[in-house]
Amino acid sequence: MMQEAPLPSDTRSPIFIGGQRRSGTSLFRVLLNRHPHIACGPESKFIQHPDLMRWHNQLTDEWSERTERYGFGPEAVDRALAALVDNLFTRYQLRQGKQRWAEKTPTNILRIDYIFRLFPRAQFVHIIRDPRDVFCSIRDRTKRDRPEWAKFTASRSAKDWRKAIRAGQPWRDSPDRYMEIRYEDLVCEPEATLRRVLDFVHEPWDDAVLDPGADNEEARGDPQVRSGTFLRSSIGRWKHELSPEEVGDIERGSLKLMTEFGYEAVSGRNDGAGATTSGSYATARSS
Amino acid sequence: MIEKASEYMRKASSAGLASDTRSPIFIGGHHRSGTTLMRVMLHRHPHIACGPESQLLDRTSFLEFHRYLEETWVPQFEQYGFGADEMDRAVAAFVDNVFTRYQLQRGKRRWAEKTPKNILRIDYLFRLFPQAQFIHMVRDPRDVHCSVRRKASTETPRWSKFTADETARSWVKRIRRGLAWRDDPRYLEVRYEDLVYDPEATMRTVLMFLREPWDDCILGSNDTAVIVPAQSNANRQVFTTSVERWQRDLPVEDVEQIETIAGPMMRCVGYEPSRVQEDSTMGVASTASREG
Repeated sequence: MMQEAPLPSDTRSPIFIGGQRRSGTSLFRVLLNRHPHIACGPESKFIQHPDLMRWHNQLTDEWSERTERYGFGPEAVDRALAALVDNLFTRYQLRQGKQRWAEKTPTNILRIDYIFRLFPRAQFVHIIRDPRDVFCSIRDRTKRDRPEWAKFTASRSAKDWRKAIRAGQPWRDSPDRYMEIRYEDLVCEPEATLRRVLDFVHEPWDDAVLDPGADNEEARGDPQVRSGTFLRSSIGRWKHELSPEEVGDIERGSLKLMTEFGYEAVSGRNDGAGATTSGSYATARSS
Repeated sequence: MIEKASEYMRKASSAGLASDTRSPIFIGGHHRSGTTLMRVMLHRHPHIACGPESQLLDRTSFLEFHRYLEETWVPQFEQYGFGADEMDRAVAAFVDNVFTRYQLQRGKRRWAEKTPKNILRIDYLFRLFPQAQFIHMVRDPRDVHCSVRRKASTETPRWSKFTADETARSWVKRIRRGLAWRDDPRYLEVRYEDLVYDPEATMRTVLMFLREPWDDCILGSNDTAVIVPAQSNANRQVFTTSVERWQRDLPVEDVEQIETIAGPMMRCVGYEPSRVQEDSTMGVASTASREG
């Protein structure tokens, strides 16, 4: 019955971006936002709020008896809540003169099931980075401006990394809706990587995505991206910055997943032969 | 690149957001004042879908949900250049989604929502939907109380808690809420008595207010699509025995109590208190005694 009467928000195909923090989601959002069709504003964190699900369930419970009279099932509240969210981002999109909206909040990856429940036609881009470099970057920010991130120790950071990857895994069977990209590929081969992404979201290639001049005012103010776009030096920095113990803490329990993404582990190899991994990052997945 | 951008701008500005320009109809009024009758008649109109009483906006949890969004999302969306106004538009899109879906299923062009308590939320409803139109059903409070008593003695025993005093007070509260909107072209008061005595003339006024064409079918009674409670009078033909029933059915003390509390407000909406005669006689008497 619901399908008979499509509403604009029912057929919307927004793009969601997520991934563990310090994995390049901000960089990616700025690049995507340069595309003439796509408006990807600042991190809204809208779906991150723990109370959102509670409200959703409460409204569903309370309304179900009433909405039944209208011939609606409990998914009526899903659609209505999607319309609410869609209204905000579509308004932003229209103000930017774009055709489609995207939303980037790192924790989106942990809410991916809920996102697809709200927006069955959404597309999700999951950004993944070497967990050892993720930890280096977290530690930088802890020293610089995020003292509260001190709780993210090497092993905690690795645990979060695995959690994000596992949240995305069940969606790999839906390649039309879910895509993984590696930060290392984005940095080393921006054009090839972005072409794959734009293909995935059914948008034409546009040189603007690589042109910093195409940034809107608000994106230019993003301190994370102002510092430099494609920094190859951000790849493999763990080799000079992390102690063997830290590397061990991260790799322990992550070996299988790391191998899958081409991040070769160096600890736990007592034969001493596997300690060099240089050059494997950019090539592992592009072949 | 510049050409492209301006082309997109044009498309975007012509598109807009549908829910921003929606002009829904809200029906409200004291319970037992004919809000269901109005909803059934409007629902028969080929353009208007007015489903069963939803009470959706009636729930305090809905208002709390809106407050939650204001507290948590509004600060977060400041970086998008949005404030509480944009959040109101988004909440309106939520509400609009539910009723527009119903409307489309019915093949109609416009949705209406009837919940008696809408009158208590009229300010909020206009805040959510600045282009809404509101129909306030008003009925003689003495007949309202007759009807409340009758309902209490038959199908809704919990209503027996409503004394004449309470009915009068809640009636005054609702009328007063509407009075503030009387000068607003989006607001219309419809007296139950007018609807019952002259349905066609009254509904013609209503449809003119709603800018909808007249259609004979709204007076008809042979529709099956309408869902109303089985015992509801709205299922039957419009009838007039419900007018001034209080003169037969209501104890004098109840009449007095209602008129004492609601008297001035009754005059305001065209119901003459029966004790006026007494009052003025007393007034004359006292004047006379002073003269004497």
